[in-house]
Amino acid sequence: METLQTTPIAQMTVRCQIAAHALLRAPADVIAQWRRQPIEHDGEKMSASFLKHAEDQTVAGVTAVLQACAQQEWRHRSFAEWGVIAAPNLFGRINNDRAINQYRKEGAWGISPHLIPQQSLHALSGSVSQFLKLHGPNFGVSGGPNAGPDAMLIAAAMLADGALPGLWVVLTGHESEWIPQADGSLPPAPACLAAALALTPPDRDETGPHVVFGHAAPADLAILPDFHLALFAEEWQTSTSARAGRWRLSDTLWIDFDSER
Amino acid sequence: MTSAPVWITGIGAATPLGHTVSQIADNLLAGVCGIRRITAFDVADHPAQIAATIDPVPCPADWDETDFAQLPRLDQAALWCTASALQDAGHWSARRQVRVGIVLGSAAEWSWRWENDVGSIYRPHSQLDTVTQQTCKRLGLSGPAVSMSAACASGNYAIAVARRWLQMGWVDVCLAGACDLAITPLTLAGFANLRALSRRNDDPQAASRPFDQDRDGFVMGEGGTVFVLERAEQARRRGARAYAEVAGCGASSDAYHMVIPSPHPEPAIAAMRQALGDARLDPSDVDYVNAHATSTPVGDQAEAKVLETVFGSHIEKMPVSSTKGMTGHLLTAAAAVEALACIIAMDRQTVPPTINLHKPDPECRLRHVPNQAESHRVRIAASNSFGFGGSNTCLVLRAVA
Repeated sequence: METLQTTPIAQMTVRCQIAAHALLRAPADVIAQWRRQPIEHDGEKMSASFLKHAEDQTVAGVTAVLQACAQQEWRHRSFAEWGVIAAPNLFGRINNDRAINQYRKEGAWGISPHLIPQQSLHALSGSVSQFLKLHGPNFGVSGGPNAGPDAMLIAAAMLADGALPGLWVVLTGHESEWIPQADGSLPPAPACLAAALALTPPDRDETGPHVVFGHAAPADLAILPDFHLALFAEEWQTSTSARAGRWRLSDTLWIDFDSER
Repeated sequence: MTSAPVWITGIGAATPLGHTVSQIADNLLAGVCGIRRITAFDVADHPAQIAATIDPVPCPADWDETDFAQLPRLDQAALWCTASALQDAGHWSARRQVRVGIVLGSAAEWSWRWENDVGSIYRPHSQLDTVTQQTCKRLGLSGPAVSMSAACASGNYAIAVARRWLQMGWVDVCLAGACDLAITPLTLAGFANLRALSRRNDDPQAASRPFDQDRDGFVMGEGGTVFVLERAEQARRRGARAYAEVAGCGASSDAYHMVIPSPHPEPAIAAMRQALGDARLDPSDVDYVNAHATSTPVGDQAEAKVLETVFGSHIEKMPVSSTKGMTGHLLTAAAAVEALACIIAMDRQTVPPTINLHKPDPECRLRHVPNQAESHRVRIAASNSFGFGGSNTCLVLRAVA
């Protein structure tokens, strides 16, 4: 068996449109309020308990998707064939700490049956899929700090063959790291951040913000910060001179934000 | 993007049935059960007290044993699976000279770390890498390196993404699979309190019994499997051994409930049909299905209905088995281990059995392979994996002539 030589095949760039987006910042009391608020899409209301046991980042991410839909007046749009990927940041940390302490006090009996379905990496994407009635692929990416670039790498792969009519990419995290204390106390919750981007294959007739994913990044390219793509999409909406830019996603792959009008 | 065929040319595994492909194959086809009483922690007050656990993870060849021994167990499993897969494929010495990516299913790595006090939950995490990123760095790979989770369907998604990156020309070689060591006090209690787990604690070897009338829930398993994927043209040119072609991938979501499978089979049917369409195959071309069937009362019946619909009359002659009676349910790693079971079926031309299947559920009208492996021509195998969050996936593997 011979040693592998790099094969020169065409390295694809993937271009997609940011068809809708929303970026939000929500303090803990606002998250608590959203959690209780019934949500609906396409005239169908979710059960009042839908977000009752959800992680804060799920509440924020779902709300960001709703806001993006509202901004585009997509209240009755079907997303049946779309996919969703979500990249939460240190998802479930606070509730895992609570569960660890609860287990020490009460043993197995004290562990909530909601812990696994609601505090695992796939919970946010699963929730978006459920309320948008979205039957395409859904999964979580990374779950660690700085998950945004990983989500974009996967988004490019999902959109490359044009089979999906659209893909929601949902990024969430806290404004600063929320670290539980060993004595069982909990510092005040930092504000929760969420960005929802609806990526679609490019339409020749439409102008607006686009992203391009490609290969062969120069060595000095900066890594894409987690929420910057949504921030730039936001800027694009309010300013005529929004900045475009290129960032690194991995050692060799890059993403380009193109704010063409 | 090209639709260039992609082959599996290397395998690394750490499973309850062994840590080498030949050992796993021998045990799988002999109907060996890896389920036992949990001894790693006190389970006296747990409703479910059994699981399929792995033996200590071996140190990869050419790796410093002292360094390896100091790694957390999850990191050991990921490193063993990836390193031995690269070695098996013949890429070990050249791994730093070509673009090697890595995609691993890993749902529970952060909760595992927090519960096991690896990178304390009480310390800042802003500079921490995922296990996949750490593995990539330890191996000196150039990446990209991404962890992902669709719960129990994760491994199939990882393989689909790796295949896509290869077809896009973004990597030359891609490691894909999943590792999950979720047998911890919290996870065991969480699944048991969901009433998802078998409580047949007095008879561990009989507890996981997919499609059997007396099934009462799944049994947790742990471990991982990682594959080396590369473009067929490249693999052929270097004379690599091809275990299988990744012929088709399909995925859908129920959009119904976070835990309960949808009573409507259409989304799962769509995932299977998408995978077969991707592979350009007719259902009647499939020689074997490795079912997701976890041994839960609801899930096994729902999947049987899906299989009946997708395969029509072919279901009467095509063998279907679930290997979870032997391996337990490896959760995030289940799809990857079951893809390996399909490869073993193709390699040995023998279908692994569904053990503990003594009274088949009449609602699961399938051509079962009860309790004993069966010689059978297997050139095309399909593997279903479904997960919490409503995920449905199907992977179709084709033998390489």
